Amino acid sequence: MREHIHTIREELALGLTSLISNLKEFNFITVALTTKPFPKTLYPNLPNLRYVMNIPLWGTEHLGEHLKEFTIRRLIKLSAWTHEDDIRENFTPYFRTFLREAKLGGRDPEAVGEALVKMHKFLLNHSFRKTFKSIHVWKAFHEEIIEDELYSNARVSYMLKLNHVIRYLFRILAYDYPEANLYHSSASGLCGLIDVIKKLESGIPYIVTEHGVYFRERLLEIYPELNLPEKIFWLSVAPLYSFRKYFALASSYIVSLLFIGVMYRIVEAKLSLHLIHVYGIMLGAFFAIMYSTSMLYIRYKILGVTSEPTIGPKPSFIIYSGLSYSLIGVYISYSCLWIGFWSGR
Amino acid sequence: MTKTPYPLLANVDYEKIANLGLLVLVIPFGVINYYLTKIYEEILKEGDRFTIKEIEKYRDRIAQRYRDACLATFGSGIGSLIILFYIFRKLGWISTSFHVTVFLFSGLSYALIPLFFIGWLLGTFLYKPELFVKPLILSLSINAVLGFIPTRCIGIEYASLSFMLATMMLTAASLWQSLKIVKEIDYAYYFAF
Repeated sequence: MREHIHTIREELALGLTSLISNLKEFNFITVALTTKPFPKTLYPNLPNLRYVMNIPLWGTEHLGEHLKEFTIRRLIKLSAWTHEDDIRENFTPYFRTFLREAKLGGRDPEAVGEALVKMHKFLLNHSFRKTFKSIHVWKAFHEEIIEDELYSNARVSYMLKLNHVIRYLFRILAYDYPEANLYHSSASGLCGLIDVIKKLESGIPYIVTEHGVYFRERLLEIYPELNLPEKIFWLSVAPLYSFRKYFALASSYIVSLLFIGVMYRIVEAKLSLHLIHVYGIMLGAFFAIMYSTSMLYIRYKILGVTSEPTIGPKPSFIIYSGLSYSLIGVYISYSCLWIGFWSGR
Repeated sequence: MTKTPYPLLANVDYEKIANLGLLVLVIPFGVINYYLTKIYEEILKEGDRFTIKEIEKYRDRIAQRYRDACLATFGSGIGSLIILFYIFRKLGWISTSFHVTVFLFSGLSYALIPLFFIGWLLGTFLYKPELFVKPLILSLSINAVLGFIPTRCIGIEYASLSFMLATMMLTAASLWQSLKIVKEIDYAYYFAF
């Protein structure tokens, strides 16, 4: 029997149960990235599922303290083996490489892969906590951010929060994962890193299956404070940027602005200001969707074009779109002032 | 013939005046509370005001706030000491040179102790309480050793002098440690949480 490891996200657990139960010739070990150390198991204990290795991203003070193998002795040993000089020489350079590549959108996947493997090897034999609390790690992070033209304009509080998040996510690199004949991850995101490391370390095949458009999902996660119409708007204008249709992109915003501006003055009494805003955004989104679909239909079906020049998402996309969005905000604020002025309020 | 021991473990006259000196702590502790709460809030709040490029300004801002807190704490301690001294003199509770010596030395120590506390509390908030343990042990040892000598050789009122010297050492060491923390407050905050 061959062993097959797959790493999963919690919400996919039930779906993957059928995968495991239908592949009876394989033995499985499941690595689940969860938000807490002891989640409730929702799926049945399958005969070919050897065990579930739970990796909580939050909820544990010391790495692996929820596991049976965890001992205080090992914790003390790891802490004693971890020295500042060691961190500076054998961890920080790879951490720096990873950050640099992450900033550039992963231009050199080999370098990222190597950095991940080296960091994983280091963290297996050193204290995760001591390593990430080291001044050298902090300085590496700080320098990488401050050297970057875009990120150096972020707020200090953002840097503090971002570093906390990175520290929690990097926990997955510090676990020792079992050997197998095949690795599978249910997404190319965080859980895929485990399999990338194992593949690079021992050359074992790795399969990744995606269950959504990753970029679109990430866009939905950007700015959680955005409401649904605003998220829809973001999703609708993203393809225009990708297809380099900047005029249409700008037009989507203009349509929104015009609608909101005109509606403020014409039907202010009939609709609430909030609804006008929502309708304006939805209209802009509708325009963007119509433009994208019509353009694709005409080019592919009528003109017979087989490919479309695109550009990948860059920070500039966020800036352009965010700028336009803030312009809408400023415009609305002024509109409100203007309405107040003319109506004598 | 052996020297007659004190009927009680402590000299009541000394303890009475030294305990009056404890009243110096009241106002500085209030000032500590005010400033520490403000600093805890500002570490993140000020982080929203400055960009990463301006991180030195951010650090300076928090360090300046901490220095203000130390000055205000010490100032309020000294102010309390002067006012209490004046009141107790008027009330006749401090009437002899023995009383004056004990009250001023112990009062000055109590004006300094809040400076240690403000650093220690900030250090504890930022998960670095161990930085203050060594100075604390050292100052307690100095106080125990120095306190014993003048009590036996010169006079019991000079026990408060040894207390003051030990407190000065403690305050200086803890201020040095806490200023080191606030100098790189971003790292300290990252380390703590």
